[in-house]
Amino acid sequence: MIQTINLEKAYSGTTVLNLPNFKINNGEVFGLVGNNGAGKTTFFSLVLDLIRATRGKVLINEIAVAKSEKWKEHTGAYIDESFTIGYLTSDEYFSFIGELRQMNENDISTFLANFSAFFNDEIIGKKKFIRDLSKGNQKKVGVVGALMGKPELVVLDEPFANLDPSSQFKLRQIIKEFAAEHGKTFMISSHNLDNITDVCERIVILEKGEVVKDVQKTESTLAELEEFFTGEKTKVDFLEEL
Amino acid sequence: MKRNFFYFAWRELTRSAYLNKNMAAKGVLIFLAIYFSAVALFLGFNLSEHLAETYPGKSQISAFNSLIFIYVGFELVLRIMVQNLPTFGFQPFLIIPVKRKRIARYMLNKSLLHFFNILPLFLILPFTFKSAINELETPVLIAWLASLFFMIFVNHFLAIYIKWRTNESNYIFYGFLAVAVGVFAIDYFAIFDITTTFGKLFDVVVQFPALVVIFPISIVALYFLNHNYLWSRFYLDELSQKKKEGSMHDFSWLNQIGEYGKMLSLEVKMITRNKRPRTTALMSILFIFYGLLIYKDYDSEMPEFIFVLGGMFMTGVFGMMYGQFFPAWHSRYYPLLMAQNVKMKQILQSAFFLMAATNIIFYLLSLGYMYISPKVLYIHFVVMLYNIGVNTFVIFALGLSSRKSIDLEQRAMFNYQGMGATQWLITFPILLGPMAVYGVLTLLFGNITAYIVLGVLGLIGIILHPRLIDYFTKQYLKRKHKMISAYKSS
Repeated sequence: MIQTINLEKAYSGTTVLNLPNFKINNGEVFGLVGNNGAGKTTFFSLVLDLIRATRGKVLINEIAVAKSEKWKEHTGAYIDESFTIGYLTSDEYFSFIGELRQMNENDISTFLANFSAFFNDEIIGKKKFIRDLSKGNQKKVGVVGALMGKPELVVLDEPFANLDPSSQFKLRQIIKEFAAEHGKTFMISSHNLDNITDVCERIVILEKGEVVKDVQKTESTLAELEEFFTGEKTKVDFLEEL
Repeated sequence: MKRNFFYFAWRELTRSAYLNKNMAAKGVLIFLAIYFSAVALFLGFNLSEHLAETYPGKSQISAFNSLIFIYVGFELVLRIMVQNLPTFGFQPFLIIPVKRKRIARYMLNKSLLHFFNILPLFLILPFTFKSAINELETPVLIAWLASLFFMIFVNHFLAIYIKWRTNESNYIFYGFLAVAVGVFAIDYFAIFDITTTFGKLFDVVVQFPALVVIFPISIVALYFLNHNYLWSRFYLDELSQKKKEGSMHDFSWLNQIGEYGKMLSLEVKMITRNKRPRTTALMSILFIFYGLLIYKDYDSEMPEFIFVLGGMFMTGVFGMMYGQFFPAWHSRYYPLLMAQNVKMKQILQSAFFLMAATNIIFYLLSLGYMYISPKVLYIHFVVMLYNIGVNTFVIFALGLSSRKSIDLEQRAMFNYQGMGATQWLITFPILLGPMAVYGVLTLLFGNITAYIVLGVLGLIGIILHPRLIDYFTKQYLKRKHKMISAYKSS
C-alpha cells in the first residue's frame, strides 16, 4: 500500500526523518509511537504530500504522491485542526466531505448513524459552527470526516488526544471494526501506549527520525513499549516468574 | 503588582511577530497617518478663508461650531468601524491577583493612545491660533478650546461603548446603522437642523465659559459606563467573540453547477459567514455608487476615459478585493483541501466562476448609469469582458505568490493582516493594464479600436479559460508545499 524510497526530510541541514525503505502493507493497522520531535507528523505529512521530501519519495499503490493527485480519491486523513473548516456546522462539513467522496445524502446519514454513540448527541443536528465546538468534539468531527467514503487508507495523527476516556474507548472500537469489516489500511500515531497497542497490529517506534523498533503486536508488546519509553523494566512478580 | 501593565503592552508591541514581518504594511499605515495629519493641518490653516467665503458676515467661531457635528458624526462612524476594542490580550491577567477594576481601567486608559485622538488637534490648533484667538478673549478661548478637546474623548468613549453593544448582536448593529442613516437623513432633508443645534452647544460655551464642565462630566459618565460594562463582563466567554448559532443559508443549490459546484458553495459560505470576507463583499457592493461620484458632472466634452475607469471599478471591484487574497482565504484549512478529494483544478474553476459571475452581476447593476450616457452599455461591457478574460488570470498569477494566511474573523477595513508586497502590487496590473491598453490605442487609432481590442482580449481569455486554468493548476500544484508551510507559520 505505502512504500518509501530513500525518503528523507531535512530542515536546514538537520535530518528530521529518514526512512530509506519502509513498507506498510494493504489492510495493516499500523501504529507509530515516539517522543515529541521523533518525526511522526512529518512522516504523515509526507505521505499526504503536504510537505516536500528533501530526497526520495512516497508511493501509495505504486504511484508517487507528489506526481499525481490520484491518491486523494482513496485516502482520508485528519492531522490537525486545519483539516476541519471552522465556519461550517458539523452537518455541513460532513456533507461537504461526503459529496467530495461521491456519497449522496442517504449514504451520508446512514454512515453518520454508525457514530451516534461516539458523538454523544453533541455533534449531529446542532447548529453550531465547528470553530465553536470544544477541542474534543472538533477532533471527533475531523476523525469521522477522515473515515467518510470508506477510503482504503486512513491517516490519523493523534486521534485519541483531547478525547474523554469513554470516547477514546469508542474510537478504539470504531477503528477496529472499520479495519476488520472493510480491510482498510490505517496509519495512527499516539502518545497513549495503551490505545495504540490495543488498536494496532504493527507498531513502529521512531526516534530522531529513524525507525528503532518495528514489531508485530504480541501479548508482551505493551510492556516492551513501556520499558522502552520509561527506561524501567516493569517489575514482574516473583511467583509469576517461577 | 509592582510592574505596570504598560510594561506588558510595550513588550507586546515590540516583540510581536506582526511588527517585524509586516514592516511594509506598517509603513503604509504610518504614511496614511502622516497624510491625514497633513490634510488636517492644511485644512486648519486655510479654514478661516473658507469659512469667510461660505458664511459671509457670520462670526468665524459660530461658523466653525456649526460644522463640528459633521466632523464628530463622521468620526464616530469611522471609529466604530476601524477602532479596535481594547480587549485584546486580557486573558492572562484574569487569574493573577490584580483587581479586575484595575485591569478594566488599564484597558480603557490604553485605548486612549489612538491616532484618532490626536488627528483633530492638527485641525483645531492652527484654526485656534490663526482665527479664534482674534475673536475670543483668553478665558473664553481656553474654555472653548477645552470643550473641543474634551469632545474628542467624549467621542472616543462613546464609540467604544457603542461598539461593545453592537458586537453583542447583529440587530443592535443594524439598529445603530439605521439610527445613523436616520440622523443623516433628518439633517440632509432639513427636517430638523441637528448640525446647527449641535453647534449651538459650543456657542453656549462661548457665551458662558463655565458651562465647559458638561464635557468632563460626560467623559466621566461615559468612562464609568464603559468601565462597568467591562468589569461586569470579565469572563472569557462574554468579552471575546460572540458565539452565534449557525443557521444561515447553506447554498446547496450551487452544488449543481458542475464538478466544482461543491467548492463554489464552500466559497460562498466562506464569504457570507466570516466577518472579513463578508465586509469585503459588502464594500464591493457599495462601489456600485462610485459612478454617482465620478459620472455626476459628465457632459459630452469629457473624455470617455472616465467610463473605462468607472466600469473597471464597478464591474471588477469584487474580483479585485477578493482576488487580492486568493487563495489565502482558505489558508486556515488549506491542508484539508490539499489532502481531500478536491482537485486543485476545481478550486481554480470555482474562483473563476465566482469572479466572472460577480462581474456580470455588477455590469447589469451598473447599467443604471445609462441615464447619464448610453455609452455605458458598451464601454462597461468591454471592460467587463477584459476583467473576466484577462484580469482573473492576472489574479491567479499573482495568487501564486500568496504566502500569508488570512484570519477570517477580523475586521476588513484598514486591516493589514495577511498583507504582503503582492497584495499591494496586485492592484497595479489589474487597474493599469486595461488603462494602458485603452490609453495607447485611443491615442493611436481612436476610441472604437480601443474598445474592440479590450473586448477581444477579454473574449480570447474567456474562450481559452479551460486551458489557462489547466496551466494555473499545474503552477499552483508546484507551489503547494510552499503555501502550506507559509500559511502554517503566518
